[in-house]
Amino acid sequence: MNYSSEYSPPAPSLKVKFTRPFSDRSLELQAKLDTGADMTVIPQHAVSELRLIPASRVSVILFDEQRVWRYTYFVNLSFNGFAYKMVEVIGAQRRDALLGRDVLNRLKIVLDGKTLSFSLFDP
Amino acid sequence: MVKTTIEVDDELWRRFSLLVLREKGERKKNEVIVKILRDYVEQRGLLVEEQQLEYILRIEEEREAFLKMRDELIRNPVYNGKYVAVFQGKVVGCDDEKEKLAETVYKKYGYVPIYIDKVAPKERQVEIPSPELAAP
Repeated sequence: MNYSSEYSPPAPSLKVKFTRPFSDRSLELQAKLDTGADMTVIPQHAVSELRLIPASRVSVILFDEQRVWRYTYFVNLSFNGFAYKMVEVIGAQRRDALLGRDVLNRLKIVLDGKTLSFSLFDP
Repeated sequence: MVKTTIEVDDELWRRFSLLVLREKGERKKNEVIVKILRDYVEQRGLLVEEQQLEYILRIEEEREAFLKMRDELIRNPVYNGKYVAVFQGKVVGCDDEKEKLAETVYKKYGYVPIYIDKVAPKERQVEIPSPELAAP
């Protein structure tokens, strides 16, 4: 898979399908692979469109050590043949999703910055 | 629209007025105050549509019940360090894995606001450091 040039510099990202629990209601979003993020993040508009129900809230530490709190939601997600049920994600005001280490650590990921490509495996 | 009155320290107001005048121009204080209010609400995740707000209010009630019980739960080895689900003010489930717990309680009670959190002395913290350059 190729890095997305929608980011500058280009970043590894892919389409992820997010589905409301116990429902067929789903939404496909561009998600950036983010090894710095402890948890997966979805845009607030996706929370509304999927009619997700908050389950908890967490204190989020941002890059400048600022702390904000955010609500979390359980959602099913799938991409490139991988599927995960009931992943707890954070809702935030942003345009794309961030695939955090809560999901990435379930896979083997090879990032090739030289060729701006990446691969995902579940060996 | 709501009209409201607030009391502000004279000196703070004078400096605020000066800054707004310098940065935004005349008669813009109201606009700046509304933006500050909006940012405050947004930063706390409450800039959401009516339905979401209703869910959030319900989950906050369940969270309140969780916080009242938290010390007691910490002292109980059955719950300490595990995830619990709180529904209608009571613990309705417990598991080491939050995913399993969510699946179980939503199956039993329906997909409704149920508060799920870890039994621990402090609130859960996550890092989302990812700074991004704004598009030009």
